[in-house]
Formats: sequence, C-alpha cells, structure tokens
Amino acid sequence: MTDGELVRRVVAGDAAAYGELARRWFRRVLTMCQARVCVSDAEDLTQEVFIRGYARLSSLANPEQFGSWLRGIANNVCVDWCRDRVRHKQAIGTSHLRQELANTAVPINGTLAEDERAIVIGQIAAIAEDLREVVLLRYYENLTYDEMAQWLGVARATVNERLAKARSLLRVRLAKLRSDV
Amino acid sequence: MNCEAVTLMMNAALDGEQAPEERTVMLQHLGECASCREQWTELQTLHQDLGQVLTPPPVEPAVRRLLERLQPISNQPQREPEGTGRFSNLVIIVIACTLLLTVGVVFQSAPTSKAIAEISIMTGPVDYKAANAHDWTTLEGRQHVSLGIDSRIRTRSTTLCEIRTGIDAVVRLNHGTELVLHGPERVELVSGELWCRAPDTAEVQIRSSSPSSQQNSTNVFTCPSGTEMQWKALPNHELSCQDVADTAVELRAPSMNCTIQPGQCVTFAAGTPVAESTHFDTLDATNWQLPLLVLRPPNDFELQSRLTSTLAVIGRSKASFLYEEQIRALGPAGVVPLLAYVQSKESITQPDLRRRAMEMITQMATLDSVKELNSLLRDDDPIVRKLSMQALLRLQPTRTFSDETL
Repeated sequence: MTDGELVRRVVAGDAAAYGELARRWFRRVLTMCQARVCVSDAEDLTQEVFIRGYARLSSLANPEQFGSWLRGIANNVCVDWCRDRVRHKQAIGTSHLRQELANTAVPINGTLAEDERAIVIGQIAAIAEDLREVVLLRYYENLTYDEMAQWLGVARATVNERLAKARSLLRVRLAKLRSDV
Repeated sequence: MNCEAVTLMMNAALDGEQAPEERTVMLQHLGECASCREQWTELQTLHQDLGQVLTPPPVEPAVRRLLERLQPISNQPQREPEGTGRFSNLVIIVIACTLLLTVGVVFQSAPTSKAIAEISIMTGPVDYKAANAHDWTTLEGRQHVSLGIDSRIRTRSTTLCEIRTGIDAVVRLNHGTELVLHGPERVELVSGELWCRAPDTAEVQIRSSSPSSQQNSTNVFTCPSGTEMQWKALPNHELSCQDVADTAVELRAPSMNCTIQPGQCVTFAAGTPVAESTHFDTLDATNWQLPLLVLRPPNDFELQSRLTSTLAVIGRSKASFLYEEQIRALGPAGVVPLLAYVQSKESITQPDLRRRAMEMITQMATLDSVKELNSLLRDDDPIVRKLSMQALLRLQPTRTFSDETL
C-alpha cells in the first residue's frame, strides 16, 4: 500500500493506518531529530512530529508526498526546540549527541570495546549536521542513495559526496586519535 | 582517474551503490595506487565499526507509544477547517503531553530530576528552581517545560503561568505567586494566589508554607476530585480558600472536614477555619486567568465560556465596566477569541452577547483581523455588519464600501 493510500485511509478514519505510516518513517524522523537537536529526548520530538502530522494530515494536498511533508514538520519541531534552547541559554552541543548515541548504540556482537565505541560516537557527534544525518540514515535505516536523496531533498550524487566526506573525516580523525593513544 | 573520484567510488562500493563499470575502474586504480589501497582498507574497517556502533533503534515500541498517545483523539474526525488548525493541533499536543506525563515518560526537562509536571502556558518570564538548586532559572517562551519533584515556581508581578501535573491536575499561578511541587498531587503555596482544578480521577493536596518548627500545625487540605478551588497565602501562614465552581466542596484536613459552598471563602489557620466571607463573585475572582486563557486556541472551550460569561454581565450592573476592562486589557490577543465567538454557531443564539463582542472588536481589532472582519460584512445581523464596517474603516480609512454592504 502506498503512502498516499495510507494517508487517505487515515483521513477516512482508520487510525491504525497511521501506525503503518509511522513504522515507515519513524527512523528517518528520529535520525533527523538526533542529527539536529542532539538530545536524549529526540524520540519525544519525533513523537511530536507524528502527532502534529496526524493533526494536520487532512491538509496534505498530495498524500503521496507524505515523507517530504513530514520532513517539513520535523524541521519546524527541531527549529522550535533549538529556538527554545537558545532562549533558555541552554547549550546545544555535541556532548548531548554523544550521550544520546551512547544510550542507543548497542554493539551487535560486542566486538567493539566500550572505550572504542565511545571514541567513534564522539567523532560522529563532532561532524557537521548534514554529514551526521546521512551517516545515521545509512546505518540506522540502511536506505539506498535514492531513498536518502528523496528524503533529504538533494541529488543522489550529493548523498554520496556527504557520506564520502563524513567517512573520510571519521577515518582521519579516528586514526589520529588511535595513534595518539 | 584521480584519487578523489575513486574515493566516491569506494564510498558507493561500501554501500552497494556502485555501478559495475565503476567497480572495474576502482579496482584498476587500487592496483596502481598504494594510498587509495590503504584508504580502502581503512574505510572497510570504519564501515564495520559504524555498523556495530550505530545499530537501528527499535521502531515498534515507539510506534506503539505513538498510537497510545493518539488513541484519545483518533476518533475525532480528520477534518481541519480553515482557521481551526491551531486549535486542534494545540489540543492534541496538550492531550498528548498530559498522557505522556501520566505514563511517566520524561519530557524535555528543565534542569531537574524526574518530571512530575509541566508548565503549559506562561504569559511572560517565570522563575524556576530545581529541588537542590541554589539559584533561580528564568523560563521563557511557550514551549512545554517539565518540572521535577520539589521544584519551585515563581511568577513575577506581571506574569501568570499554568502548570499541568502528572495526574492531570491544573494549577494556575496569579501574579507574584510562588509554590513548591512536592508531587503531581501535592502543592505547597508559599506566597500569592493559585487556582487549582483536581482531575476527575484524583485528589489534590494543597498546603501552606510554615516554619520548620511548626510542621505539624501547617494547613494541609485535600481537594476532592473534579473540584475547582482558589487559594491565597495570607500573613502568619494562614490560607484562604474559595470554591469557584458550581458545587459545594468538602475539604479534608488532618483534624477536620470543612464544606465550602460555591462562592464562599474560608480562611484557615493551623488547619482550622478562622473566618468566613460572604459570597463573592466567582467570575470576578477568577478572571485574572483571562490573559493565560487567551494564549490557548481561540475556540478553546474554557476560554469561550469565560469570555461569554464576562460578556454576559457587561452592561448589567454598575460595576460591569470592570469586566469590560478585563477584556479590553487583553489587547489584540483578546480580539482573536472574540472573533471566534462571533463566528461560532453558538453565538447565533445569543444576539445581544454577539453584538457586545462585536462592539469590543470594533474598538480593539488590528489589521490582523481584516480577513475575519471582511467575512462579517456578509453577516445576517445588520448590526454586526455595521460594526464590522466601522472596524474596517478604522483600520483602512481609505477603503470604500458598496451600497449593498452599507
């Protein structure tokens, strides 16, 4: 079933269909929130994105464009959050992401030592937001370049460039850190 | 083939996005370039490390929580008429936030421990102090802010705020009020005045502050579920209580019970009544909340009820100008709910109130209301049409109207 069909079902009163939409898009929105607001309540913001989306669903002109429409809402939620943080003079820094990622990251086989994981996470937190987002999308969602390009609203080549740049930065910085140790 | 282009190919290869022809070129280059060969090895290791560190967060529990939060509103029609979007969105967010607190999930928080309540509305800066903090923090803006146990909230001389606790109790602080939240159902009033609505499913305990040497004699009262009371801290740790709802309330204190009638005010000292006042005007006593309520969506039920109640008494008594002043004091913020009332179906059956609201709109409206005023030019009531035109002429002096409108 396409996004558009699910949207139409929700608008017609089938709330469960919204659950299916959420399953499809939850990680992408979560990734965006984690990449941009970098706090332990990224999931709360993600939930708010979907709640706002639900409330406004009937105003969605093109139901097939649900993903990009949702990204717009997520952007607003993140901007509101950042604005509020600035207003309250609360720091928005990489330490938040480090904690956030440390909480969510669980090694598959436990093959990576804890301190090594912490170093990797710290370096992911230190790269630029747009680079961080593609990295998280790639490893959280395993999206193809085309899917990422569509979600981010950029060209496929840009996705490749961002991922390449992110990996290049991570590779160099991690190598330097390891050599320092 | 330069190394930079090969880097992009290696990246695509890691992600399974490489075209076959690119792979041939890449492998050929790697055979010739030791630097890129080393880079390729390192990239593969990095790819493996990232795959271990960044495992996908589970989706299903999060979706389940989302659906639980949406459940109370999922039966509502998915309809968003023009002009009511803000209303429905905010209602949903408030409901969702309340539910979230109820199930004990922690929100974005002020610097504190586990959240037991949140500030849902404030008209300006509000001071906050966490349980173990030494200094007050200023909270601003309209975003929900979570509050921890034993946190203190203090409004300034010009600000009001509303707190929703984890049991869905609502507490509103008048100007210059300070309280301590000992729990989602326990509030200590340090100074000033507060209004509290206990939810239908739980009781709320209100107490006054007292010196540590007199803890046993402090005023501690249990408000039954579903009641609305207004409390004021008085000198010598006395506490006055007003029943501002339509039904009598039986307050429970450690040593006695006390029934308070609607519109009655009782003063307590050390847990026992020491004075009772004659009946007071509950609308006047609680209308200080209007500036808070106008920050809600214009169609908010409580806001509309309070506005229409206030409009209803204007012109009926010598003191009714006070009520008019209360609405006028809202300024442009008051115009939006007034217009929402005039445009509502309910107001059609209250033509006098509707015209009274329209008279105030005519004097208070700003250019933000032109669209609504234009639509009211086609209203069935000629008085409303005339007042709309007057408002528009005030806002747009050069505008002309057709004879039909006149």
